[in-house]
Amino acid sequence: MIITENLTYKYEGASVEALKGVSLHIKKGEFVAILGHNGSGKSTLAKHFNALLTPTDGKCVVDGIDTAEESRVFDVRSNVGMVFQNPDNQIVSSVVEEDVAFAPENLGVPPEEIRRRVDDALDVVGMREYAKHASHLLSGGQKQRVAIAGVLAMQPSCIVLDEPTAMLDPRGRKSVLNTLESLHKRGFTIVIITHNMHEATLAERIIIMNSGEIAMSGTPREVYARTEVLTRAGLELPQIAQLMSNLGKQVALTVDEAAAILQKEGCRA
Amino acid sequence: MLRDITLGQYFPRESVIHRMDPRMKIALMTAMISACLIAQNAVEYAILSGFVLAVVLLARVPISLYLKTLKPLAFFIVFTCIINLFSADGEILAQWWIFRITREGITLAGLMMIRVILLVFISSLLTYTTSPIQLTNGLESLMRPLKWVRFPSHDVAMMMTIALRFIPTLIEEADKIIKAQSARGIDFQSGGLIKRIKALVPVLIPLFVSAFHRADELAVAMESRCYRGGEGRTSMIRLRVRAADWLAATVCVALITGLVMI
Repeated sequence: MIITENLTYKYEGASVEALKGVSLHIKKGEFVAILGHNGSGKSTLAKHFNALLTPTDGKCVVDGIDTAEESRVFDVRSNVGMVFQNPDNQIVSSVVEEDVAFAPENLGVPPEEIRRRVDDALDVVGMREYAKHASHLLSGGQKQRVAIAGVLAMQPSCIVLDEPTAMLDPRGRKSVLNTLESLHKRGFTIVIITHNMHEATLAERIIIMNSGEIAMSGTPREVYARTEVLTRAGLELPQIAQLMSNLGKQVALTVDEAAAILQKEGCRA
Repeated sequence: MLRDITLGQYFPRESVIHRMDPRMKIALMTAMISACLIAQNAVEYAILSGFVLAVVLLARVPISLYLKTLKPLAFFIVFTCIINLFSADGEILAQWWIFRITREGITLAGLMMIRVILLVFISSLLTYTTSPIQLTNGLESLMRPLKWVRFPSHDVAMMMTIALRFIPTLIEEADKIIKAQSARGIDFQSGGLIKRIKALVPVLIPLFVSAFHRADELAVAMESRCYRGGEGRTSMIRLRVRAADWLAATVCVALITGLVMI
């Protein structure tokens, strides 16, 4: 789905590269979390996935299309949808369904088809009943789901979300994460950029970024077992994993799992 | 405070007027306004007022809303009336020093008042019965022929859409900044005009900075959703002029020709 080879990027006027030779491969249908602290290059990397940025050096290929190929930029963008952090700054229209229609309108899709796509997309994120609502009156979580619907209306195969829950309250965060899980079940490739370890646990694979490089990559279990790499990347384990690590036990991803492990050992003692 | 101004003045209702094509509404409104400006005597104004009143009733928007729009204009209306009252020549009814009231003056003042009120009613009719999106769609479609003179009709419509979208967001933001600056001890309430205007500077600067920041992010978000200007763009809402629109147009044209004839 997305392949980068030795991807290097330097912002204009910057002295150091934001990305220093990143090579990764995201498979179709995969749920990947890219984790890193501020300035680790994770957002810069995400912007390459839909050709908002093109590599200074190296390559980024999406579904066989090199993102540097200018004539195919819109093919890349409609295939890899992007959702941003601030829900207010990515909604274009004051009416929900008009906003969802924005992308297919840009792509020149015929009106009846747009109508169908908009209704479908709103159904998927569970916002159909708000179709005619004023977008600014929605809650943060609802706005973010509308933004996801706006991306779905392009019928992409991959959705990249750049810290989609950073500005949301716990409830909004939960509704967005649930939406992501259901999209993953429908076969979408999901890439979530975050600095929240807890969110990353939902993913099948975690990629840890540190100062423009991949520090580590693996399943949440594998990643959480290597505390020293995480600390070096300026990240903290989720509390439950940290607790297990302090106790010298095996890695646990959820509270239930940890409880089961501890109980088993408790019985034995 | 100004939370629900988003949908502009739009007052959603199911009515014949609401269902009309926005382009036809804009065109007919312009025609009616010109008719108001052309009308000369009491008979013509009576016919026009009757017609506008009928349309207002058809639109099923409460009359009190129209009166609310009239309120801020009250001073202006009274002022024009007084000017007209004293400035006409003709049969003198009363005279005091350099002021004199003539019969013609009274009629003129009365007609002037009706004219202004009609203008307000007609323009409110458009904004009350048409959602901002429909309005921008209509304007864009009407401006399309201007492409010949390189007028960027799509860009103008896009700008209007975004402006409408961000007015409430920016108002909310201004509210927050005002509270934050009040918490830091800025006094917005007291002092003379100059002092109060000065107090607004620490509100406006952060507001502008944030607006630019938002514009930046919005541009990236629009780009990532394949925005590339009006070229080859379609629209989900298709504007269609229906039989009812033509009927309305016929009635209006008949009325206006009638007025010009008499």
